[in-house]
Amino acid sequence: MSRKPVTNGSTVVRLPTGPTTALPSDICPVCKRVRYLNTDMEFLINPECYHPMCSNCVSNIFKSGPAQCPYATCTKTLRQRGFRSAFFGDLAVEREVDIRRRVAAAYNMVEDDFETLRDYNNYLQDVEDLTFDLISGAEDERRAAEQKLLHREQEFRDEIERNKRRGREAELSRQKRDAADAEAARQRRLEEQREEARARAEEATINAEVMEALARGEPGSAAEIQARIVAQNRARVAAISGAHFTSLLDTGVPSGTSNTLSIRGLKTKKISEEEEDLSKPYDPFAGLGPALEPSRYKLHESYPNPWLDAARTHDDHRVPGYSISEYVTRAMFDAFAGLGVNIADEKKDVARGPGTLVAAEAAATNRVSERINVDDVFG
Amino acid sequence: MAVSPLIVHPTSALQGARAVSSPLKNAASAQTSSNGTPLAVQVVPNAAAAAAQSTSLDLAEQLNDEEKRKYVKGKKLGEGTYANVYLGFLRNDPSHLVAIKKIKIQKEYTEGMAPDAVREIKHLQELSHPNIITMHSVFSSKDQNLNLVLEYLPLGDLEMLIHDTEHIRYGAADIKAWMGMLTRAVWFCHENFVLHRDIKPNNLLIAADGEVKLADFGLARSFSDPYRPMTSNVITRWYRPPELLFGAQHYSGAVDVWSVGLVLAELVIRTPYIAGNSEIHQIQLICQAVGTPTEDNWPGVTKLPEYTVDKEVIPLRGKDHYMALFGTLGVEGVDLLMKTLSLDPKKRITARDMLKHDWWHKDPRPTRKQDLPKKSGGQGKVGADLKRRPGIIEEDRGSKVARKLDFGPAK
Amino acid sequence: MATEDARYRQSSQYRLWSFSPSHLQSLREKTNSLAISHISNRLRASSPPVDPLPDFLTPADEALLLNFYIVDLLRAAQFCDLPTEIQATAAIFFRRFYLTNSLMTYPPRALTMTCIFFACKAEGLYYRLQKFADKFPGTTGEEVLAAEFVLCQGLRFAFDVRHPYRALEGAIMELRRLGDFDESRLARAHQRTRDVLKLSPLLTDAYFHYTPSQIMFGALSMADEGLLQRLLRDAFAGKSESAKNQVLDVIQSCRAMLEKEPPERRTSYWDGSGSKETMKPLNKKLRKCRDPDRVDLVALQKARREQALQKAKAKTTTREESDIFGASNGKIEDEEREAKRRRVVGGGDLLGPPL
Repeated sequence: MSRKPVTNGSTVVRLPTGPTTALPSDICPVCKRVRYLNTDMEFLINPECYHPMCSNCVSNIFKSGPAQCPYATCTKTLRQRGFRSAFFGDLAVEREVDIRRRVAAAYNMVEDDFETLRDYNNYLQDVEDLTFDLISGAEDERRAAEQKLLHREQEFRDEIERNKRRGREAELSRQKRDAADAEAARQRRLEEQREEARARAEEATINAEVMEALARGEPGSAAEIQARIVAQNRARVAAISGAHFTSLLDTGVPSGTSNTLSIRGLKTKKISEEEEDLSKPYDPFAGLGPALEPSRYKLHESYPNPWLDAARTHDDHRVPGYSISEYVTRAMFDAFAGLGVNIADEKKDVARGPGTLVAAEAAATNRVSERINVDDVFG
Repeated sequence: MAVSPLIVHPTSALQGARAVSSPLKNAASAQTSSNGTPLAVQVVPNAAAAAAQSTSLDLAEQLNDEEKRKYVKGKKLGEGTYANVYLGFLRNDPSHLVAIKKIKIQKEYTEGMAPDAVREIKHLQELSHPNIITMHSVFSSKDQNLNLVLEYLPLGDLEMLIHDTEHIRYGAADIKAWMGMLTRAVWFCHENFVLHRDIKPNNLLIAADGEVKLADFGLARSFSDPYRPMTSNVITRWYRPPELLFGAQHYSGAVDVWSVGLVLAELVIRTPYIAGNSEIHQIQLICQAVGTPTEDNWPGVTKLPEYTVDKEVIPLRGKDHYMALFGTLGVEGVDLLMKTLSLDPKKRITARDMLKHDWWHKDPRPTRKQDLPKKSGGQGKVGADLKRRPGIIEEDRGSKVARKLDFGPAK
Repeated sequence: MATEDARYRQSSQYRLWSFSPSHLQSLREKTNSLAISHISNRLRASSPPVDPLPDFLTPADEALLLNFYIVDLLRAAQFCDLPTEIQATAAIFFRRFYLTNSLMTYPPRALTMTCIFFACKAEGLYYRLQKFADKFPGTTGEEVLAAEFVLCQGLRFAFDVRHPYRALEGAIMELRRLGDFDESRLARAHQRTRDVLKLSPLLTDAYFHYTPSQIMFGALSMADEGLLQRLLRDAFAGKSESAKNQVLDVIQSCRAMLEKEPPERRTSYWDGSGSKETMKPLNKKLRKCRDPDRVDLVALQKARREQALQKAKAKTTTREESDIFGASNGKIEDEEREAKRRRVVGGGDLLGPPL
């Protein structure tokens, strides 16, 4: 096999054919250094080709710029920057994980983006097919898949950004909720402790009161006295326990902010509606403002009209606010509204409705079905 | 669901039609039906005519029947002296609910169709807007009753929400959202040259999605051409502007704007702001709340036909007065309110300018309609209602169940 | 898309009462043939059966008679001193009613009164029934009311008719504001156009095929073409020439329709021997082929009402209904004193408990 000469003059490495799939354990395949002698030898890989070498090799070979990978069969040009330590011992897994990570970053739609579950599953299937091609496909399949991935990354940059942001927000809200839950649980536990303490304190005071009552010489046995005192206390507590009870409920879990995003909502519309609402400023006209502006004329401040003069000046119109401008606006609207409407054109298909068809059919057969659906003949 | 006699089947439509067309000739009808042969056989060989004849209705009646057949009437939702309201749905889409308002024949009214029925039908036919109740259709039933097919708005009206101080809480953002909807509705009416003339919280109905809809166009009318008088006896007294109380017969959309302002006030203080028990009393209360109308603040007012005010002249109230009462609205909100309660209608803000006011763009942002308070379902504890977001009850339960079954990492 | 046009398309006049010419034609034919067959049945089924059947009106006959009766209607409305808009609304109600109902089925004389009376209601002018009936000796209030419901049904409950009169005011005001035309020219055009609009569109199918704006411009072009051109020039400034020409074409064809019934013709309907002579035999023909069941609308109405009330009584317990219409026996202006504080639809209690 022919090989291009290595420029920096390092040793040529002969390797068994086929990709290595495991990080070497004690000998660097490039420099043959031994871990026994270099206790902190670390193996790095470059995602271009996943060929492992020790960090010394990396700095030796690549510190003065990009160079060819020292492995025999590999012709990839590597840069020092690209090297990192592998997470997995099995480099095949490392490679696959990297690929999956990249694909997932580009294809990051969630179930909520899809109209139906089936659509979502189809999407997942397609993504998996792509990933498979990237990982273990034949040369041409892999290249095609690579193209698709690149295309996706470039073309849908915005969408990917948006999905990422949403993911982050969802994550944040989940965290907040968890924090709130935890807080609530903690509060409850605290309350319970305090309750217990209170109960004990109360018992103590009741005992004290019973003793005092006995000392004072109140009638009845100790048990009866105790019962009496407890009853009195309970009556007092009952009066305020309502408020007490609801306040506990109030500090409970704020369940309003439930998992609205992920539980339901398959339609693409729903989410965009919510996003729409909050991102745009409130429009008091709710979008209808422009539709009601005149397009064929401009409304002016004043229109001389002798007939209207009396309405302008007479008290019975002027004082209660009869509005000449309301009248003028309406007159101008009437003058131009429908000017461009061509009724003969716009209504010509209405005549050919089912009513006439059914009648014709009935005429032909001289039989009549139960209902003549003379549809909306007027269109 | 009760079977309504008005669920029309083809055969009954035929018989019904015959009854309608000739109650005086029952014998004739009976004759044709008794021998059992369909009409088509008897008559002229003209086949097309034969086809059409199998319904013995003329075209207008056929069209009416078409309309009627589109809807299925269900149970009665309410009954009044004027009309009955039934729940209904589209025959083609039973999930699409409607309210069918059947206007009864009024024995007392001897002038034919009542004016408010005429007005309501006339204007609802022309107005199509998300904040105005939709009238899908009108048809007549066999017994000459009018049936209006309206949007089904099950969540009551704004008055219920305002006055249920025990169960319903709402804030400035909610008020702003509701006012936005009401103002849009009034603006749209005025853009279409219609005066509503009966704006009050009672007539603001709430849809299932939280949208507020203006209803009851029984007093509405088109803007008037100059020199055509209108009656001053419109709008429920508490919401009636001073020009109408003084008997004016030529007025403008400003009358509706005054009512809108009073609805805003009522939303804040949760009780009607100017509630007089007679027209004189109403004027007095307006003088106290807003100020006495005089030639100074409203030139010409003393010449109005029914102008009467107390001797004591109360000067126009200033911003401080309103801020003290309606401070929750903020400075801009109070400014808007004051502009709607201008005594002189010429100086009163228009609905369109209301929508251009700053208040809508200041904090707080109006609540989204799905988040607005809705009437309490009567489901139980005050606490439970306050805690839960209205309307999302099922999901709440669902999430609790899910948590119970979650054997995963503890939260 | 012009905003004004989109808004016009929301109107009931556009949605329910605008047609292509061929559609209109077929509707009239259908109405006519249905009426003929129904009436034939009834005549045959009467005792004694009518044989041979009379001559029935053709669609062309109906069209002629229709205009004759509309002129009659306008005269009656004028006699009541009703404003132009209300007269026009009554005429259009009449024309719309007789699109899906035949003159043979419902007697036009009765409908004339009913149309005028109901047009007043629809336009917010509340004429007391009795005062109205008194204006026409030989007519009772009952007769006026008898056809009201069937009229409403025939109108498909669309009571808002849009007219070109205010549009004309708008056009003239705009022309005056432009300041390029002298006042006398404008006044002349104003008067002439208004005269045309008061009659010609009502005697043709203009309202079915053109919008009020187009009708107004068609009439204006009859009076003074230059004014029309000026307004169109401004309205289509900055838009394509073809858009403007398309609109011009529509306006021209509208004008052609209006020219068939110029205002001068009005008098000929009455005095001119020509029209009267054509109408007499037609009226005679109509009398012979009328629907026997509907000749007496009052009786028909009474019978239907009875039926309805019987049914209502049978269904519910009779409840004393309060006199919600209060002092409606009073003055003519108090249109609104009836029924104000009613909770009908939407009142919380009426919509019942939540589902």
